[in-house]
Amino acid sequence: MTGNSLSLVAQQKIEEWRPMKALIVMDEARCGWLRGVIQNNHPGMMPFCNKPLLEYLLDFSILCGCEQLRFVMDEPGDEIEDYFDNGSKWGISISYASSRASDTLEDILEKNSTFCDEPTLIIDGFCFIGYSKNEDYDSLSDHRPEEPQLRCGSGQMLIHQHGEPLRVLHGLAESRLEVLPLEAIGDCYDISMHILDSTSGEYVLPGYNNEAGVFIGRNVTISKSTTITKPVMLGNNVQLQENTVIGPGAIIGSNVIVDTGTSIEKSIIINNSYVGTELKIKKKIIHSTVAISAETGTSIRFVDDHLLSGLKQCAPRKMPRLIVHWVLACLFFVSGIIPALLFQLLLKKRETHTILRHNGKSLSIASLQLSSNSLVEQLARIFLVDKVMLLPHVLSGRLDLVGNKPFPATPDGEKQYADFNNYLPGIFSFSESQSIEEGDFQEEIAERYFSANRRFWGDLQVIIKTFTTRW
Amino acid sequence: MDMKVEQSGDVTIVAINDRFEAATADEYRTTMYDLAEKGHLKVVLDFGKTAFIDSSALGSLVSSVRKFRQHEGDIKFACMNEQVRPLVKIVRLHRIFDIFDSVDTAVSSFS
Amino acid sequence: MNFNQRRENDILIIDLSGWLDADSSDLFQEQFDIWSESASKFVFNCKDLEFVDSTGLGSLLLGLKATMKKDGDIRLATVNEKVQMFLEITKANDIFQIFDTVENAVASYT
Repeated sequence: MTGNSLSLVAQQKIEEWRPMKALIVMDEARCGWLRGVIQNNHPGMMPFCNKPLLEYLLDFSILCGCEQLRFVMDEPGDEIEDYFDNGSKWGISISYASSRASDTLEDILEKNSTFCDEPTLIIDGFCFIGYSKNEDYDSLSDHRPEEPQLRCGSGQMLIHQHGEPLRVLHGLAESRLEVLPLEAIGDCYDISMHILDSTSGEYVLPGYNNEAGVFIGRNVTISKSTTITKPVMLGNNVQLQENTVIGPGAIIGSNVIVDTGTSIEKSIIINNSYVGTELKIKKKIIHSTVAISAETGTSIRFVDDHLLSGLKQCAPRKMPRLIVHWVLACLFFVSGIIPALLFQLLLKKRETHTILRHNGKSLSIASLQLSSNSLVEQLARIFLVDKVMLLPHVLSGRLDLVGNKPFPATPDGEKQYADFNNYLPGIFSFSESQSIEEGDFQEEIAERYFSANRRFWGDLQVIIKTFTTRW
Repeated sequence: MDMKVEQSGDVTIVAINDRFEAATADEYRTTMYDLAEKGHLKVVLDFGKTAFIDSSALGSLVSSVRKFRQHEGDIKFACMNEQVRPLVKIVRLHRIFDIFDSVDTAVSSFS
Repeated sequence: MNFNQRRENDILIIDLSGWLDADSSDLFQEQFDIWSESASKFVFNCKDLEFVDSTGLGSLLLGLKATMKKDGDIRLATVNEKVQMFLEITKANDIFQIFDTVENAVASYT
């Protein structure tokens, strides 16, 4: 063979072996522990130096030459799809698939066989990948049994090629590459601090980084009397009030307020947190009302909002729709209050229930349980008396006119609330208008479907349908 | 609603085309009932051409999967395109459905 | 909130157990006023103290302030990890002397 054709063969070999696709599998069994510590989003969105874990894995996949990526989760999070979308921001094509908790890696490959038709890099489990953006990973899929395997207690990196068994990859002698376990909060802390202290140059990190060791996001307000000692990372929309002492070793997420006189050293403040005045945060991880010791993993929950609290963003309530609902509620109230009061006097069947509002707080409502027994009750149902009685809550802004069936303020209801992202309780509910029986699984499907597909006319239809089904 | 039924060995492939909603959920239920009666308890639903699916259709999918599983059979799902997949995820049905990205592997998974 | 007390010379040792928070701090302050009538040097055994919030801490600080006027002190012993973290974050551990054991706390008064 001539020199040219030899290099052509070699070139082909590299392209054959180079993974073109990446499959990132993160199962709840291995990442679920983080949900108990930091009740936030999907563990894959856990920030390391203000960058979600999954984004590091995505960056690495791109570095390896992958052009298509798929996330496979058994508990997929909306926040993941919201953040990554179709991948156009990174110039890679991203798709999503779900798996069942009982699926093995082989099952998952079967379920994604169309995707995995070319050599596929697989990152399986809940682990961090230590790599460098300045290195070359072309020879990643070569056989190198003398190097350590890229696997750890909670994850591994493999390659899938048609016709060959699934193979765990090995490290590279000349390029930095390792798989680090994420099994306790201390692991997340250590890795973040290590990146901040030593390896921040190896990754693409968010924030304005004009000076080594200092990363500052957008819309950051720092008071004149604040002392900042590097290395330090600040996210977006951060407020540092008077006389705060930040760093060394402070990683502050986005939407964080650090109040007067507080010091933050060798600590991580996760997004959406308020840190009160005159506090000393050292070697801690703070998320909303929870403080976790980086050394021992012990966590305490603060009950005093002025010390630590969350700056929570609940489901946004759209103003135009709310205004229209409010006006409708007024009209209903005005037209229906007199008959309603009359019926109330006749029936005398008021009960008090506590339900959960959209922000999780409890609300006591006086409800009227109307069965179809007596003629009076039937008439009351037709005149929507039980709904009219709840209108004052709509007028005061606590409930919506049309929305989800309210969850009761019981431990069971709280669990359902935690699992339902767009929960917006209303007095006319979708599943009721569809005459779906209470407690039926169809009810949960209908409520979730409704929440995800709200339209103005759909809301009106709910009211009309409730009325017509009662006739 | 278009529903194409074909056999591949002992597995029945049902392709649901176009819109799958309340009005057409009845047709789905009848088709599933017939298949069960004939003893065809291994079914793959092909959603490759499904444009739309609503909550009552999702509900009928759940009850049919449950019934087939009670009788030692199963219904597996294939080619959930981007119109349908988010809806399945929103109503949390990915936890109980086996979803494949190709009809062939779904069929072969029965053996 | 429960209190057991015993005396060692002029030092009053109080065993705190339960929660010192918004619900129990009034009770604590009342008790403290009673104890202050007969002592100014205190050791609080916090082995069974499970939880402290800012109101609880506030009442401890009030007690400290009052007893310091009489040249006394409140020293804490066997604080559990969670309470320790709370005291550290609120910088209360700069104000109170904290010891591993009740004996050490008592000994520190000599």
